[in-house]
Amino acid sequence: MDKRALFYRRDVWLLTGFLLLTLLSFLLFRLSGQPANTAQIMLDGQIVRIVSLEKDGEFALEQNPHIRFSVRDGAIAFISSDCPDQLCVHSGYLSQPGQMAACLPRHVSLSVNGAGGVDAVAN
Amino acid sequence: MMKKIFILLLTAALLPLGGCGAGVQRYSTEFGGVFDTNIVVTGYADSRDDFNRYADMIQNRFTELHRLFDIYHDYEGINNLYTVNQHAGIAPVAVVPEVIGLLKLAREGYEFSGGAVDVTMGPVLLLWHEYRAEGTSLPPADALQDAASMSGIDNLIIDEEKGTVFLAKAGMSLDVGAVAKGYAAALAAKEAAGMTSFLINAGGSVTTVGKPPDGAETWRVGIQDPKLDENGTQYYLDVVTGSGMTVSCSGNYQRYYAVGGKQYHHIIDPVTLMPAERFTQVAALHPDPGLADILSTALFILPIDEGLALAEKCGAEALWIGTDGIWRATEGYKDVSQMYNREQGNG
Repeated sequence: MDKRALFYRRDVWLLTGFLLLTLLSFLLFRLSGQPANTAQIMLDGQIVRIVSLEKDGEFALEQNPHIRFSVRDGAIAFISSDCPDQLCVHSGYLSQPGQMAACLPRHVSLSVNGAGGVDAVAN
Repeated sequence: MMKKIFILLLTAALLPLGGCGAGVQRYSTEFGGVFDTNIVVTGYADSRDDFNRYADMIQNRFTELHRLFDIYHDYEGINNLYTVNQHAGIAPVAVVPEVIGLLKLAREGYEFSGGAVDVTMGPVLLLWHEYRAEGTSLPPADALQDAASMSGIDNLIIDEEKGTVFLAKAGMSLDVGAVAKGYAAALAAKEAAGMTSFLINAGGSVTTVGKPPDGAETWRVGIQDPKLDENGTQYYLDVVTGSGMTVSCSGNYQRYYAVGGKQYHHIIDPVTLMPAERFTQVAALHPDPGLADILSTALFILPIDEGLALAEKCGAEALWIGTDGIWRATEGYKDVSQMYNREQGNG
């Protein structure tokens, strides 16, 4: 080895190793926040259920079995409720992050999680 | 030795890149029980605790204002609008500055909307509310006329010096539905002044403050299409971008009932005393949440030409969707809209 050189070949490998590690951890962090879409159901302002939108199916809310949801083709909807107005059921299927529906009389709300989409929906 | 220092420094400089990289993170919370709706607060803060501090202040302020502006209940120890209504034709009522502020804004709204937004229409709106709840018939024309005779903005007497409000005619009552939520959002947003970037979705009226710091240039606000598609899926009919503005919508699909196969919604035209029929939906955009709220109702009721003039006068942008399905908008709306030009071919 030429002792006067600033960098030996071995040092280049070391540096490259560090750089790759740095890049890898950076990428891992950036990618980790992008799961498949899920939806969350809140009751009285607390999250009571998180639902994956990948699997079709219907289910009732454990805390109020009169309120039922359906997941279909990556979207979720209220399909029945014991409220007088049925505005929740009329809100239809939600598939985009930022979309929400609520059954106000029963204090239940539904929203789609995930990145992209919009930050809020005005209506 | 120099080389070792060099490598150390280089590594130290690069390490932060691989670190968490997040000074602020995005948090969200929601609460109900105010203004007959849910409120969602989404914002950027250094920690969940930090965010919750701001969100709690916002919630407390909304709760306080909900009680002050409530026309259906009274609360021990405070004079609110229910109190004011109870004293119509009897005596002035001492109220806090927030109530004075709301009613002053409401009166301005009456003036610049040419009377389209009138908070003294309480008796007419109450009649519609009752018939809508009962659900089988329309309020008779003579009952509506009687109720309308009890309205009159000139009989709303605000004494700022004494801090009182007086409804001068017996039978008068205030209904502030067209303005209260927006005015409350404006006051509540001030509670979170320490959060530089957040939004409040107050039951469909979206107020944005600052810009999202995570790379997006502005907030993105979807405008819900009232109709679902043929699969029953909800979608946005437009997305608007912006910061430091409020998007407020009025539509014929929010509260309605059907009689004889026809739908009757809740936004009543003070001239006809019937639901306004020109548009299916209007979205109004303005930096001030109270004005956005008033304008969404005014623009829903007024004909398009008066509406365009009013929007310009107030510095607002707006979108109208007619019952004929045709979209119209202010020039500035087209600049912030994703869909407008595509939908309309630059109409």
